[in-house]
Amino acid sequence: MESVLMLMGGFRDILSFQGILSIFMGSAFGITIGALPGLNASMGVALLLPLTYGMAPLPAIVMLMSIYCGAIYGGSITAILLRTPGTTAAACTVFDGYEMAQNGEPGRALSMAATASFIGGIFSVIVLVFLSPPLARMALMFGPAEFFALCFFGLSIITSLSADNMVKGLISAVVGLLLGTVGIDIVTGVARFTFNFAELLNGVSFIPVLIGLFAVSQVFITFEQNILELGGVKQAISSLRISMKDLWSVSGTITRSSIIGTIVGILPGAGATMAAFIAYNESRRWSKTPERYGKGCLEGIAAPESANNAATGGSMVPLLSLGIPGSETTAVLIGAFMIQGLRPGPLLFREQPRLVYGLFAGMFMANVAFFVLGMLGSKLFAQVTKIPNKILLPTILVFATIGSYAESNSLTDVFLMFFFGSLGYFFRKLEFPVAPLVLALVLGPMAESNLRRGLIISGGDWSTFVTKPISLTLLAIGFFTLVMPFVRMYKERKKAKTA
Amino acid sequence: MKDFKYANSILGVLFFVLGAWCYWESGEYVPWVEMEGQMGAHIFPRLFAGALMFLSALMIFMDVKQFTKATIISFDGIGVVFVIAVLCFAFWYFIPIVGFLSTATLFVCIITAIATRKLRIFDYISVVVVLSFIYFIFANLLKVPLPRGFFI
Repeated sequence: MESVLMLMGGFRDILSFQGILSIFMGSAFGITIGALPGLNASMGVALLLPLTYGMAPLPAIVMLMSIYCGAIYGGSITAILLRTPGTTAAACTVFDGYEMAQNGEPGRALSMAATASFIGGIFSVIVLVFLSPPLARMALMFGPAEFFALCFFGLSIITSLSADNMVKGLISAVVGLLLGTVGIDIVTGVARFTFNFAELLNGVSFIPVLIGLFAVSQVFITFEQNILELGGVKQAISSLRISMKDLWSVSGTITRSSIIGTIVGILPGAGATMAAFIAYNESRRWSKTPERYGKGCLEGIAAPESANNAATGGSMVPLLSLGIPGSETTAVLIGAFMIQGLRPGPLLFREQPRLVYGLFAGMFMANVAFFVLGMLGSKLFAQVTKIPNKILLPTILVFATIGSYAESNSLTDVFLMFFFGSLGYFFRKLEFPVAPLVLALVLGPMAESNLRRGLIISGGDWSTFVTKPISLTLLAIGFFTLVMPFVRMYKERKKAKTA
Repeated sequence: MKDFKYANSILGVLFFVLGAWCYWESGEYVPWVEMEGQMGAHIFPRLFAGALMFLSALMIFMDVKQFTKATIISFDGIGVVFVIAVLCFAFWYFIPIVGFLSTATLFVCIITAIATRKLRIFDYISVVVVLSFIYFIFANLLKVPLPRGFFI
């Protein structure tokens, strides 16, 4: 009850002219940053950080939080319309979002993304308000063994992502895992597969790979098919809004994905991308019609979008409760707190409760703001698909180039982007799924480092991974997810034989 | 070349060679001194390279025995893709020499010419206006330091 009263007070504080202006400005800027390939939430927050020097603490930090929430949602816009995920967290949205846009439903896909992101975000804020201290303590129970188990669970999705062609999907995943080993080994300091290129010491950057595999390969395919007059869509734009029936049909998916997103977001280092992939797979696993996934179904957008936005609230839990930044963006946000003379952590709740609840209310409003802007803008954004390809294709290539370059100001990343664009073209032509490669590239290095750290801590004792309850549970679920598609395939074959 | 149907076997061989090469290369990362409880930097690359060799061998076997449907690919239209890919790499090469904006202007005009196969001035003006707008957003508003060469 006390929390509710404090939250009401927080709303009173933030709903001033300056507060609302900062929320909407932050959200609009965040959506733009998120939609531009190569620019992510942490860059957006860092870009506007200097503007907050002269502002009061509450509107200043809330503006930066609005950028964070807006950017995670914004990534879905270009993912749906151009097959170019604006942020890594939107990589999963491409699978069904772009297909829906191709089928003449870009507005419906965008509305679904905005609604799912909004619900996921609001859910995580509610969790943040009422459960942050115990959840933050839970996050601290995650050691290398638990993180490895979580990564294994995430990687186990590969088999269901490859269900259409298991061997090719697994080859794609192994190529991703091998690419993940490029760079300096963080345990021994040995440079692996770098061939004396200093640019490769940090490993293969994820953004150029993502842009190349999804966007550039699509440009090549479009040129090959010689589709010049229409943009992204094959048919006329049909519907621009989702109905209540649509929303009801994905309510279970959104609820489940919001819970997954919040929990994964709380874990330091896990992040919105992992949350989106896990939620997508869980949605597919629970679905009665898993064959519709990847062909443009609403659940395929609702799951990753609600999860990645739920991760934003989740990532604020360790930041505000313990003062631990769990992601790149929250690390930049800590800087904003310090500029304002504040130190996030347990003491902040005791010393500045009014500010803390103002931040909670501000984050709630940030989700409302990007939802309003997203829904209003969906009609406008959908017009992108009407741009003729002769204009759209060169524009995508320029966007892709700047996006790849912007992340670390490196032309090597531009080269990698074109290289992976060509690879993606051949992969698609030869029926190799690219999703397992992307997932393996994200989770592979994390899995490796945590496995090795876990072994160092346990002195080489492998039982450390199965003697801890969280780790054992995650490994068991991961194993189940890994073998399920094989069991399903076996059953289908048996059924076909008897028929 | 139309409807090439031995793609899976050839790809299997290529992936097997890649796996074998990665396996051999990862031998370079074996630590000189074994430490208790510590996995060397070579273990994971070797594991993945081994998995790649196994899977590619499996793919070849399944293709030869016709356990899976052959992937039939058509190379119609690959010429234009090859030209676009070469242009992309040329664009990347000339950016630091000539400068981003100048190279990109030429690049988008050539891409538009290939796309339309016509010389319609309006198309070129449109793409150059869009390019300038994108450049303005990134370079001037977002302060992304785009590469400069002889020109901007």
